[in-house]
Amino acid sequence: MGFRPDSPDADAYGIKMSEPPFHNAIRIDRELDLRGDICPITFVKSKLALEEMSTGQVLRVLVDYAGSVTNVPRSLTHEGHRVLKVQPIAERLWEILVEKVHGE
Amino acid sequence: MENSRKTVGFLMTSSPEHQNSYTAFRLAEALLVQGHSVELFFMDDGIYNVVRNSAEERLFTGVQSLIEKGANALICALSAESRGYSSGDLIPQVGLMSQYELSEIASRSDRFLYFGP
Repeated sequence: MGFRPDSPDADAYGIKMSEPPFHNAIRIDRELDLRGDICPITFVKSKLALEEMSTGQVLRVLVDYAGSVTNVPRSLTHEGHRVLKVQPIAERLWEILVEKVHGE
Repeated sequence: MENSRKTVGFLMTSSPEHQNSYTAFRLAEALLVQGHSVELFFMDDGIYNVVRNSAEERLFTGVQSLIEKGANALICALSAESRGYSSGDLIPQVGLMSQYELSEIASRSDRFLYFGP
């Protein structure tokens, strides 16, 4: 089930976004709110989430620790996944879109 | 150790004043001289081994010297940040990484050594 900015789930996150999370028709299959987590938990939780997803599905990760903005995409890329987008969406809040590339 | 080239990983959490740092650096230097590959990862108080303004005065053998001999040196960025250091405070050739890279070093090393306080 995809995450939509106009869904009730969007309000639940309480995030004022600069633009909707449905970027360039990228379907978000799973959302992971990691605000409050730091390295290396941000990577570990992202990796575990991807392990539960199917190849081709997209995970959207929210982080508020600046170090994770570089560490998580780098590590997930090294794991063989495809990072689609990394960008700030609010003050000290970033989103990472990553597509699961391999495995089930 | 066999004569073939081996990779030895070091996890350093001891500060420069600790005997373990001196021991680890001498061991790493000997391995490099023998032609082996050395990968260093610094975290916790091990960060102080790569702080630029303490390097010349406080390091006995110097991480800089090991890097110049071919060692790869990485640090935990969070450990540096929590001690008030950013990349500009550190030896330039040291990479700010994460625990993921530490796991990669441990995975690809033929021997992995830990030197703590």
